[in-house]
Amino acid sequence: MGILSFSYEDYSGWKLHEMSLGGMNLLVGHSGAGKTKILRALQTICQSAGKQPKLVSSSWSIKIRIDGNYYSWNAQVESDLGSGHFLAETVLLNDKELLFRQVDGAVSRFKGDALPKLSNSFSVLALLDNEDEISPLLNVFNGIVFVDNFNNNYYIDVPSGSFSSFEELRLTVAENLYNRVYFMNKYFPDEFNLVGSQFIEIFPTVKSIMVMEIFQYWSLNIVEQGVDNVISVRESSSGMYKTLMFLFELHLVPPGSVILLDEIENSLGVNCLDQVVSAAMERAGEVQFVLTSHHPYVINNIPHKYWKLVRRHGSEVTVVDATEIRALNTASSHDRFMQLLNAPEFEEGIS
Amino acid sequence: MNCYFLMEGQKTEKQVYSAWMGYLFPGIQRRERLEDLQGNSYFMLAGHGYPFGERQINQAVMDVNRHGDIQHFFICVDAEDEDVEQKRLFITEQASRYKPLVQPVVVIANCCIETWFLGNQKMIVQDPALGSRLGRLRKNYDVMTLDPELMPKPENSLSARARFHYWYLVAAMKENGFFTLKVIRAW
Repeated sequence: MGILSFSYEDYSGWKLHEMSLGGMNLLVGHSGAGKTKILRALQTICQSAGKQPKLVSSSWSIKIRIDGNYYSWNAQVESDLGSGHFLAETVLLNDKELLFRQVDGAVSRFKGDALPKLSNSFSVLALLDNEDEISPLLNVFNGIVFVDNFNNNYYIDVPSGSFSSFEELRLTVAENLYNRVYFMNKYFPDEFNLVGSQFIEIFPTVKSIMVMEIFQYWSLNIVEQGVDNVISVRESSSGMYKTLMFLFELHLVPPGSVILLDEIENSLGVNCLDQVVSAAMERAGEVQFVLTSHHPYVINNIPHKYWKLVRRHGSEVTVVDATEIRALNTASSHDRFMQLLNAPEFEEGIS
Repeated sequence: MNCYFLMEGQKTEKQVYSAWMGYLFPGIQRRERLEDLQGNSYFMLAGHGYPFGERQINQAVMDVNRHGDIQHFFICVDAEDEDVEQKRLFITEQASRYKPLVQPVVVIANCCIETWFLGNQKMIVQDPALGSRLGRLRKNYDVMTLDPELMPKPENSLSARARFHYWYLVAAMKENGFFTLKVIRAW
């Protein structure tokens, strides 16, 4: 399961030509080439698909493989201040039309049969999610996780809920990460402790990670050697905080999810960058990753077959697989990162 | 003839050395990959400002030795605030540790490649506009009459000498009406 390829154009004319995606994707290229915008484009598509859509003027085509079936969702959205609606949508299943709607012409078809008029404020995926062929597609978009800077308060409301298995908890991927961490500690302490030991391996002065509850609030805390008081993770360094939350995120996402992470190296020193990249690589395959980086350490430690070079000419963005860059197919002894910087395709960057 | 260049600098060095190679050896071809070096050609790899040192020199020596048909091996670095001869000795010793089959020629810009450009008197406007940045800089140290390689950075400046030479060059180019992309971004 995963996104195979997508193309996207937004209201400003910024246009991403069709790019392919594999299980692990490291977007590289000059600052300003469009790496972050590619992640945001995926986020926009994802937010448009769901039942509480945020619609912005744009159009896209995205191809997804689910259990041996190939889906293609093409859509066009128009929006003005605060509200948006779909103009057109098609869903193909194994290259055959599954769904079609043209809002202006008021034509809607599902498996060839005409449909009554549908709300254009929602995607056909959200409107017809009870259909067996559609629900798996919507699930893919619900499983796209945009990892941001994990902002949250020191004390968080205790959430309510119960889970009979860790897999069930994992499937609540659209939920707030903190709530999921709380449930993980409460119902699956072994899984919680696994993440804790991973964290302690990276930061050996940490003795344990613990959850504390005060009335209706809870907090996530670190117990560290040589430090008298238990400290909230929000008071720890940004590197420690990001590492811990990323490890939780990695452990909690179910197979088939897609993780989008911009500049993985942000806040991370050399003492933790290696392990954070390794932890991501370990889940690659069952989880799809789209990462960006400028850091030589990150880039050198992710095999170049997973790199995708992003270039921009005006407002048109193209992405090429690093395996297609001739200068990287070499027996030179230099680090791949240095070879990348010297490749003509990289130097071209933005024009 | 095949040449191999390892450079500490960024795009500028590659562009300048490539242009010089074309003037000095008409017909010589720049190659994209080490294994493409044959006939009359050269290969360049630059550090692009990322940490540069023994690791890159070691890898370059391995490249040259593996290829087997490279006649000239250049390592091009900036002296910055170091003594030129000490830097040359340091780089040569680093390379020797890896037993190069072709002895490298260490080319050192003192203090950086922009300093060399300041030595091109055609670049510098004779009478800069009143109150212009170049005019002020020349009043303190005039590269038209004094050696740019000996130009110190301003007293109390916390930035590197090479950075000051770069800004001096930018001021000279601006006075001349030249704006490279790099200059525009820096301004």
